[in-house]
Amino acid sequence: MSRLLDFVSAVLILTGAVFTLIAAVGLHRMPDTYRRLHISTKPAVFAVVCTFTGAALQMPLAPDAAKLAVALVLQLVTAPVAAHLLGSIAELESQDAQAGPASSGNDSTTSST
Amino acid sequence: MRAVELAALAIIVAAAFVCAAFVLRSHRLVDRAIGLDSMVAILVSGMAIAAAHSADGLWLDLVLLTVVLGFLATVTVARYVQRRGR
Repeated sequence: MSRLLDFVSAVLILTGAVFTLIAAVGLHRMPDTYRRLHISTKPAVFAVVCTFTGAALQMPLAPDAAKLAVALVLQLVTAPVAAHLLGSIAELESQDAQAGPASSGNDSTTSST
Repeated sequence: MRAVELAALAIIVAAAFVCAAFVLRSHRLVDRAIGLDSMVAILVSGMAIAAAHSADGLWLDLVLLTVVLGFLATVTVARYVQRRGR
């Protein structure tokens, strides 16, 4: 039983580490800000889920595993909100970069560049 | 088991360097915010693996704190950029 838990935990931790590396490399390879946003949310959050679950299986005390579960829920709740805000400011910056033609600006488009 | 955790930590350190190179190389503010957000995710994963390696509960408080601080930092940057013209 304990050996099975060790094996599952090792597989989860290694999967999480590999997906973290995939997310970091994907930040370089994605050509667009929105695709980079996809990389920084979906594979990175999957890596965090795998790593936290694998680490929680290794914890000898139950409150430590509960802390990891709370951190996991917190990450799952806050990641879409942060990604939505980042996508919002990405759209705002691309509207600023267009600077003028057909810009349905909400307020004074100062066109800094 | 120790070897697995050390290998995972090595992979995560490599990912942190790759992500830091992305943050330093990108030009737009949004890309840097995205890179720093995923840097927080990488850091948190490394802390969880370090907690599993050392079986120490102190890392888990740091994990909770870092998750909350990373979210607040991203929200702060987003609000700052949104209110730039006002």
